[in-house]
Amino acid sequence: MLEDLEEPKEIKSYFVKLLKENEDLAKATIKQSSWLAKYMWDRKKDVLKRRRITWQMLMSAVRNSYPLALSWILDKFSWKDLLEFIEKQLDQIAIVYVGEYA
Amino acid sequence: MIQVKKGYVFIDGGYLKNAILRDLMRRKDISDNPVLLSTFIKLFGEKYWDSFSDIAVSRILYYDAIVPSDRDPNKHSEMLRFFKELKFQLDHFDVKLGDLIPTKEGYRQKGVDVLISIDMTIKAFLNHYDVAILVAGDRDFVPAVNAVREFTGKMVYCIYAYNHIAEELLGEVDVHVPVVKEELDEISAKIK
Repeated sequence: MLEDLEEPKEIKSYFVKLLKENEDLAKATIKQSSWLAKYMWDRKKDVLKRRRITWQMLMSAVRNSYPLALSWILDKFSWKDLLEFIEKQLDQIAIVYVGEYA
Repeated sequence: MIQVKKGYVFIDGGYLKNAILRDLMRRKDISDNPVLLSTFIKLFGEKYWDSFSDIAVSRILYYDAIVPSDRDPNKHSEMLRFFKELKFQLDHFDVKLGDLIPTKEGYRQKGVDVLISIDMTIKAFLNHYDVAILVAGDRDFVPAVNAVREFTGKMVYCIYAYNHIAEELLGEVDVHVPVVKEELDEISAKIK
């Protein structure tokens, strides 16, 4: 579902720079998570909607992956593994809210 | 229809760092960095406590120790920053701290086992959870596990390093979940 999403290298570079300039602001923005959910929603909205995944569900899954997203920005975790983790979160959320594998 | 049980995870931080991260996984570097430690806790949780289809974990309680401020104020502040950062990283996550007492060999935790035992027992009586998932391996937890199971009817699962576990503790818990190196290697490969 998400595996072919291209790594947003510009966003990563932006946060690397912001972490150096203002670490607290950078971490708060990264934790807020809408930047990553928006990147995914803009590119995968149709696939996600077909699986009955809403914006709110995507936000929950992304928010729940915060330490991994920060590790990705710090080059300690791969983009591929981050996507895999978020996708597993979405599967769990889909089971709880949709009641079946979406 | 499966009834979902509410789970609380109780982590002995010293055990997680020494028995699992240092001895079994050979990645002591992870426990020195709050971002990497929280990333590890997420991936470890996905493999272990999130793998029970009938348990929804609603809270993770992490117990560790800190050098008292009157013994070493600088070290105390530095450790406090670490735990604050760790708490910021993870949702539904609390850090509770005992004392770290200097010894000839380095430092020794004091009071952490008691903190976990008290919380696990009181929260069972207060009906905060249905299943306690204990990440620990010390026999000191036996009385608390016994009390929780015998007097509240709650269940206790134990996640432990297969080579660092007291037989007495295994004899008391409802479900044993050994952690083996192969599964940790998968996590280790992901965290650079």
